[in-house]
Amino acid sequence: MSLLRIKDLNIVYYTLSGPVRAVVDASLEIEPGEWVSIVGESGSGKSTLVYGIMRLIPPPGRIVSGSIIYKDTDLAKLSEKELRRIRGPEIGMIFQDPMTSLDPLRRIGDQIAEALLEHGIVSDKEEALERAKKALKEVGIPENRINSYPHQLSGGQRQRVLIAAAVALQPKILIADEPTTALDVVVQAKIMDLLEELKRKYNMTIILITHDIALAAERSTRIVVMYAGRIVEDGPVDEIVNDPKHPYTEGLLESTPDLWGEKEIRSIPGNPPDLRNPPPGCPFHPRCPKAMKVCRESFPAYTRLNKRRVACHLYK
Amino acid sequence: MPEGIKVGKLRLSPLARYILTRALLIIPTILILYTLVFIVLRVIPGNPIEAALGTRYIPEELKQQLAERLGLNKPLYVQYFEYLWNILHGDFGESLVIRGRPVWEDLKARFPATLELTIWGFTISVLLGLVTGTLAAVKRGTKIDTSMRVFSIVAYTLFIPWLGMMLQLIFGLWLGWLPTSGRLSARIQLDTITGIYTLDALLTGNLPAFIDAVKHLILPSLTLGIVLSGAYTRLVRTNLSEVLASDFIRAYKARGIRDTKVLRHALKNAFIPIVTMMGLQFAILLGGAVLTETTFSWPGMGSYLLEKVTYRDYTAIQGAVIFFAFFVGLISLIVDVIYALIDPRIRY
Repeated sequence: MSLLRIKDLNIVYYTLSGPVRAVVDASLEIEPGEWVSIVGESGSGKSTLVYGIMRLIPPPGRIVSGSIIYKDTDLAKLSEKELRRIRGPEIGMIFQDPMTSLDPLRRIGDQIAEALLEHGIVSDKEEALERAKKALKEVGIPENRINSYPHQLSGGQRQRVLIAAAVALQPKILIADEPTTALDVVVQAKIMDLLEELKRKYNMTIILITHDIALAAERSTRIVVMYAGRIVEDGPVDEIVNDPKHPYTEGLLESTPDLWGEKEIRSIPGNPPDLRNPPPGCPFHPRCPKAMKVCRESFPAYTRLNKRRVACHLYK
Repeated sequence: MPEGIKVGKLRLSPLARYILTRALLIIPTILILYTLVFIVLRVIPGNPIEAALGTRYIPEELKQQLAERLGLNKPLYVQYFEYLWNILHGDFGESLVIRGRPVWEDLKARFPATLELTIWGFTISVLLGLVTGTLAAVKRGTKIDTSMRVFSIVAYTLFIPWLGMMLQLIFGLWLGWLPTSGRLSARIQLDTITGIYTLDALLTGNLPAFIDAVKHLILPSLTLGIVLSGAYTRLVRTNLSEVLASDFIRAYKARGIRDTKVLRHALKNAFIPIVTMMGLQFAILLGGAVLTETTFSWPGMGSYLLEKVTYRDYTAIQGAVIFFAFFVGLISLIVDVIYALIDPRIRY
């Protein structure tokens, strides 16, 4: 049975200039132990989708329909109070900007310990701080840093602290929303290594949000490609990377530089659509080199090809 | 300035050192203010003699004699440095208008009244502003938010004498619940220690006097508090909304921390700019209580300065201003220390 089953999820931001459909009819099943990377350009709805899972969509965003079944509970229907038991010990999350994701006025140890106490994982403060020390050590931060304030740490260290805070609660699923975007390349690799190590150690399922398909290809078991709020292709890493079916996935892969420079970089022409007023049919058709008449008329149904599904009229 | 630190060859903690440096900064502030007041007083038309005489005629020689007696015929720089010298020795001089009346005596009698009113008004404004601002920020975009914002604008634009008189009318005249002027009823006996009546009453265990003093304080401090709270409502709302939308608040929520705790952490973060405002407000309050003091016949510094300016009582005005400057400097020092205590990022 799936660990997480998202079904026909629709998330809309009701902005002053009209409703923005950030996630459209998204369905996704995630099995225990998977590392699913959701890729797409900015505004593709990938972050909104995971915020939807956490039920932390910033206003004026709202889930308008669909369900998010986690272990037989529909997260979309839970109250704030019930959600608090999910957030942290069941589904943890780390964020894009480690510089601003820690409370600048509190010691990092206290911030980690607070969540442990909140969920009753430990009962007294001292024990919680001991656990926090262990968690810090696990992510490669010396224990004596427990009394440091966030401003005394580098960006990479802060991301490690955030990972420690999330992992200390031993969540079944860890959502990482572009965790390395704000960090330099060397630190990026180290953070990804750390995530991989912790995933193995605690048997976590990871959902990684990234705009970098190369980064996703390195460690994931599965890649989900989103465009204009819709999932357009979803399948095992090797299938997607070696033989992309959707023209958008193809474009994403072609626009990724190759270290040996053997490949010509081609960017996808045009820009992602304005989600307040998306193009009819397949939202990618204005930029698609293989667009046909039918692409302007209807959004394609998913086609199963091997272990993947793709939403494109080319495959019928 | 560093010399002051070295003199004692003491090992000072960073915080103590910071406090000391900040304290020493009060001296140039006072000097500048004294200079400004000195110049302004001499530039504005009229002098103590003319102000006291009004339209009455007096022979020119007599005027000269008076000027000589008051030291007003000395060159300006002599007057400037003489007064400065005296102040350095803790001598605030004598009033020019009421001969032989030491300015210090007046300050001692008047300042605690203003301070007491200020503290009460300040406390009310901060509490009111915090509650309304927090409500507005937490319930952002709802009717509660709107009504809090309306409250803040109305409060902010209220004219102190008008609000004061309305309160006097309702609670003093119609309902007869509260006194409308003065600090203490004539029948009440109170031994003064600090001059802050509520504190003195507590210190001497004088309950009737405490109740009476509080009753006298309610209307004026409510007037001050309401008018000043408007600015806090807005400031708290803006800052708290901003903090509530920040990444680390989302991170707290993602770890399942309960709302009340999250709000507490958010408030602490929102408090930093509010503390600045509190320091500034307190200083303005001290000086700006003039309107409240006149409306409620409150015998404080505001009404004192108003009276002394009319009489061009140079020494009294200079003394009062210097004393004020010192106190305001002290407040801003306290604010900076609070800052340093709240925010670990501030290095001292």
